[in-house]
Amino acid sequence: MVFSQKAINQIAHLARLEIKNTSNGHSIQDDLTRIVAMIDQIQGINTQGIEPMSHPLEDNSLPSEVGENSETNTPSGSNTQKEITAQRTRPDLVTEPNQRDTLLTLAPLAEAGLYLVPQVIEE
Amino acid sequence: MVTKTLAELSLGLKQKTFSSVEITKAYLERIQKFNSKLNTFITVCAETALEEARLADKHLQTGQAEPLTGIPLAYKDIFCTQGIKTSCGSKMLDNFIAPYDATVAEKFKTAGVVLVGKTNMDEFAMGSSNENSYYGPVKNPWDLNVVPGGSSGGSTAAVAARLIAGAIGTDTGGSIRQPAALCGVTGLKPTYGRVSRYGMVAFASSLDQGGPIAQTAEDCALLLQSMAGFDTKDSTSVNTPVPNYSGLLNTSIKGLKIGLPKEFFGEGLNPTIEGHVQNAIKELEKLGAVFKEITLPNTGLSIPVYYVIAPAECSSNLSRYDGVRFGYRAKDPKNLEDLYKQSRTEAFGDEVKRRILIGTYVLSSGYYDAYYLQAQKVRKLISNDYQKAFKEVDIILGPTTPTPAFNLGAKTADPVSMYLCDIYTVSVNLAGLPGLSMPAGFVNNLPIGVQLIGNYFEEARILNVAHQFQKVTDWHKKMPPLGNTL
Repeated sequence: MVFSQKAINQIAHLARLEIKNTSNGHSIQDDLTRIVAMIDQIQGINTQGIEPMSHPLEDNSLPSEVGENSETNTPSGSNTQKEITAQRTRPDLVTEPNQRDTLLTLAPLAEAGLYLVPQVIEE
Repeated sequence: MVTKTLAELSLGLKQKTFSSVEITKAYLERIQKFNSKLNTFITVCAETALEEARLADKHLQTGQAEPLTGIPLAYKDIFCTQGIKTSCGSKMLDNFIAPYDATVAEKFKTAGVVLVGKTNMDEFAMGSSNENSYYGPVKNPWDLNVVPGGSSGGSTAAVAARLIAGAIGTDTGGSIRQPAALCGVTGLKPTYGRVSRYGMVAFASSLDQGGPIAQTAEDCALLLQSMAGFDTKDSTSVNTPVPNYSGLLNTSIKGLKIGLPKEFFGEGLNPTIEGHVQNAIKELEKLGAVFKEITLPNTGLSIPVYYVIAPAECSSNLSRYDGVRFGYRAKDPKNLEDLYKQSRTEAFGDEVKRRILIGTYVLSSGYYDAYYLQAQKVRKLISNDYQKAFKEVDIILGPTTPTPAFNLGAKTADPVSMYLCDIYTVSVNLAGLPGLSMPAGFVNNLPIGVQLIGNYFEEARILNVAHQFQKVTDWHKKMPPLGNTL
């Protein structure tokens, strides 16, 4: 497929990017069209009955710790992605100290313990 | 002194042949002399390195030393280091000083490692040539007109030029193994979950894995020993024992079954590289290994699958860069949305933007099933191919790359041609397996590599085979010409 300018603008908006010219001499439209033509090779592949692999840890050949967890995977629905439940959980307890002041020092603009952004509510 | 391996440095420190301050100074001097040509380092931490070296020398004096105490290393600038800039090769993080250490950095700190500097890389680890860095391209020390490979090209070029004896990198689709091959050094991508990803700036979370880069497999074993292990701070870290990698290097490989995937020897492979792979096979046969042709039939699909999954995960991971909490912020935004858009548009490079856009597209409503879900299913087919192969063989061997390093600028006009550089490496990440590249010859004076792929958590096995190979060959000892001038 060839991306229309409108389609590109919509994707860019979703990604909160603006489209400007690239430095390689191609328009972003050309680049994306080529890349999508390449990834389209997966379209014709027969994957009937194959479970989607969202993570290497889901693989049954991993050691038992992971194997046990992956047994808790919920059966996949008709058309939905299999839930990632292979990751371990921990008790819901506070383990990190409060680092608000340290983290705020990284902010480009902060004041009185708050991040500053342009005004969002009309006066 | 600067040409020594990590194992030799470790021994020399223990025997007090030289001090940590002496070797740290020697590397700093060499970095000073060559970095302007090679552009391998983004940050050099001379002062803190010398402080750490002095402390290490105290520990060495009092006999409290571990194998890596006093050893200078360099980290790819993707590992967070408290108090030292972590840029990830991006304008977005040019001002970012992490308030904490990555688990790997913390482990090395505890082990007494001296951090000499942070190495250059493709922006957010996206690239195969190191030309996507905000700080300019890294040059290959074997020929300053060619690329070092990427994305860990700063780390591999620094080790090749002996600006440092060991470094760490990350590998999402080949980013340790491909530049290791193109720079003539040894690099290992461990099993997914073997090394903690905590504090490693995320690109594609189901594929990223940190690993060692050094002259030899023996040195990689030494580094991996410190890096590997369970970490509660990384929910994908796997709690399985860490073997003694160094202790297993000398296991005999007699009778070891090695698979040769026919798909890795087809069209597109440089014939001289193929010849070097055949020579490596002969050397390993002499050591008693047995070879067998195998098939990984879905290899050709690994690049298309990867360029759905990696961009999808990247678009999600990189949504955190919004100009508000840390990193670059655009000046004078019109409103909040404009702040997001301008900050991201001004601070991300072209390749990062391309991947964010592709990822956003494949995850968007109406395309999710056709691209993302289908890619995950084909990923499973690729992983199944490997598991079938490992029923017949112990490890898999092939070329690391189809060609030697190419000229700077040769592939920047066509992103897809750049993506194909990783044809032999990406499937290993998709399956989550460990893979190693070791030097195995030269094509027109440029180094190339042979790749060894192991089953899950079999790093010790591939390090063992690489070490045995390096005991009977000397490709890993070859140094680029500029390496001899100091």
